[in-house]
Amino acid sequence: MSDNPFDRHIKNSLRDYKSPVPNGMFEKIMEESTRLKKPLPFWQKNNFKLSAVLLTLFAIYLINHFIVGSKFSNSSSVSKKIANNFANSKTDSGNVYGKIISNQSELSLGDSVQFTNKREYVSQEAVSKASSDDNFITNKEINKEITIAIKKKMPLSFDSNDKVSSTKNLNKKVVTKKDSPFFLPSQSEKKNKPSIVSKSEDNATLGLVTDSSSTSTDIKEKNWKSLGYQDIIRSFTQLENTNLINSKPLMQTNTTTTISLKDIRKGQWFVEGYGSLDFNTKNIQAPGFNTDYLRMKDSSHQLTTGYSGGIKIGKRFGQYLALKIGLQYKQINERFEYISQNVSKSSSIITTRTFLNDIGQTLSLQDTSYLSQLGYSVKKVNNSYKNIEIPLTVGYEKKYKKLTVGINLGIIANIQSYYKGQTFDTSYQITSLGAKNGTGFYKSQSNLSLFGSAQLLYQLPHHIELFTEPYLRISIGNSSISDIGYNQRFNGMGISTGLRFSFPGKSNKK
Amino acid sequence: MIKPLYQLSEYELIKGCLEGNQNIQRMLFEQFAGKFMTMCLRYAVDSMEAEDMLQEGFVRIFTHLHQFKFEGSFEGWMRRIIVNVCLKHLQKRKLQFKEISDEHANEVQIAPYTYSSIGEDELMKLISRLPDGYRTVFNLNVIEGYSHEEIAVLLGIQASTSRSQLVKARKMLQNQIIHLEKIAV
Repeated sequence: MSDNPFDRHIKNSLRDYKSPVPNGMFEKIMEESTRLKKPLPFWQKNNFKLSAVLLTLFAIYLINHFIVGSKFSNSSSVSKKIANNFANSKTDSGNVYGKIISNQSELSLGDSVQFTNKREYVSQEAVSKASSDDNFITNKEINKEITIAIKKKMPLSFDSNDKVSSTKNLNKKVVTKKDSPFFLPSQSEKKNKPSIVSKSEDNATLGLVTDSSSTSTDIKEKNWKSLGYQDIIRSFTQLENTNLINSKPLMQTNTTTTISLKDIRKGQWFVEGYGSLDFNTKNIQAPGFNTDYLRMKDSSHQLTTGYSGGIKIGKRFGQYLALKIGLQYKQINERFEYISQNVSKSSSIITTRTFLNDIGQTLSLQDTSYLSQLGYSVKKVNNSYKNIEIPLTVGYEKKYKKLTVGINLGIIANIQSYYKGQTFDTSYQITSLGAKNGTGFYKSQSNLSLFGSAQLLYQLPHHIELFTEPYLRISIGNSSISDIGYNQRFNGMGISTGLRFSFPGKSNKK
Repeated sequence: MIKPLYQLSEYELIKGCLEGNQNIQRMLFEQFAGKFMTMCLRYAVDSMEAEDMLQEGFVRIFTHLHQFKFEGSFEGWMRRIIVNVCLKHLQKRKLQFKEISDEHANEVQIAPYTYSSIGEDELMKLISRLPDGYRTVFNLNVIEGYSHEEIAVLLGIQASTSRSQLVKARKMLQNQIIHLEKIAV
């Protein structure tokens, strides 16, 4: 504000001074506004809802990438560790052995590790028994350790003194330590030398090599060299009691795929389609409002069965948590009955009489009379409240064999509503439900609802689950516009039934 | 049920306009049209141009009402829109910032009683007689409260030009008031 008193006087005089406005100016403005007004883009009308959806998707991405993904070593780091380990080992063109850090936190069931040109799967027991600390097993420490050798074609064999020795027909047999629990029953030509043979020529050979003394190390190395191994040998500590008979066989393929986070994370996504019959209730709050009107409104409107349906896409986090987002259509149905008084019904009655005159002609005479009846009629109107919504839920699920039980909590955001039907206003005149130009009763976009449900899923083949989900939803915001003088909300409950399809991946392997 | 205007809060007023309630839109127009018409008359050369400015200003208010974030005064937000519309019209006419030769070298010292008796209509007429540049800067600085730096940005001139235009406008107005007083006497 200027310090000049002259300026201050001018400002005080003219700032709020009202000049006459020409007649018809408002109508011209309205006409121009209507002509220029374009429907708001979806992202402007539904800023907060769209922001919530985008934020959720971004959160899913962040959780997936940084938290879930960080559990697993990427292929380059595991391969590097393997490579480093092997750098300290003696290698040959065809004979490679060494150690791998089989840290449980690094590898999980179904993980694959790349080394050279082979891919191996880690058995569950092997992982569970692996030392949690980095445990580099050198060749000299093989004494007390059990190594698992994956052999493609050339098995090891032991002599009677539990020393590794070469055999002639190495392609066919693996002879291992007699008492070792790790070995599968074998079909050996020599009875006193239990051996493991390959399960099939096509599959990998499961072989387990144990060394009971360090003195056998050199022999083993030598023999292995002569055997021309091209295998990876992994060392685990404290595996002596592991019963690999019950474990899943280690297999190898010749693919060159490295550990892929995509492979690890596959099977986490799913999509659900569902439908539901809904039972809705109305909640009206109207402090100080016309109670006669509310009573009459309540008695003339009755909610009937509604329905909803939609699709959701979800992602699992870990074993139990799942986040879901989707799009659904919900319809609330209502019957509106009212008596229309002073209904006039007019009808005309035509009476035809025929008679014969004196000369035998047939004459016809028509009498027309008009009957007017005054009474009342009962009119029935089916109202419908149609909503397009975005549900967003977090779920906790636990699987028991083929059954999965879960609970879901979340919100449902209404993005668009349409109304069809009639009601009566405070002057008891019948009017349309739809909100047009501020003359209707309900908002075109309502607010949020809280959602809670329990879900029961039954596993079917081909990654499909059938589920049923009783739910309850409570509206947070009002469906009615503020001008009408009272606040009305719709709450609901129902039972959804649907199908869930989980996208296949390694984690879906049971 | 529509409440009277005096019972409507600013939020309800805006909400009603956003929902397309023509009754509430008319209430809003009737409440502020007079003030904004005065504003437009101060910037325009004649009443026809002022009516055009007012119409365009309200059209913009109604079509961009959804952009009001309830931060600050709603009237202030509308005023800024009207000012921008007025300046847009002036820029079409290519506003000239002339330096008019003045016989009086120094600013006239005018006593408060001299101008306090001047009515609003007279003041409006006196302001309308100012050259475009003087009038615009005077309106923006003295009545709307823009700083010279802000005026410089709005009009694309230097802040020093804005200051000199204001001094000249004030001097011219005061001289006109003195002349009026002499005639009155």
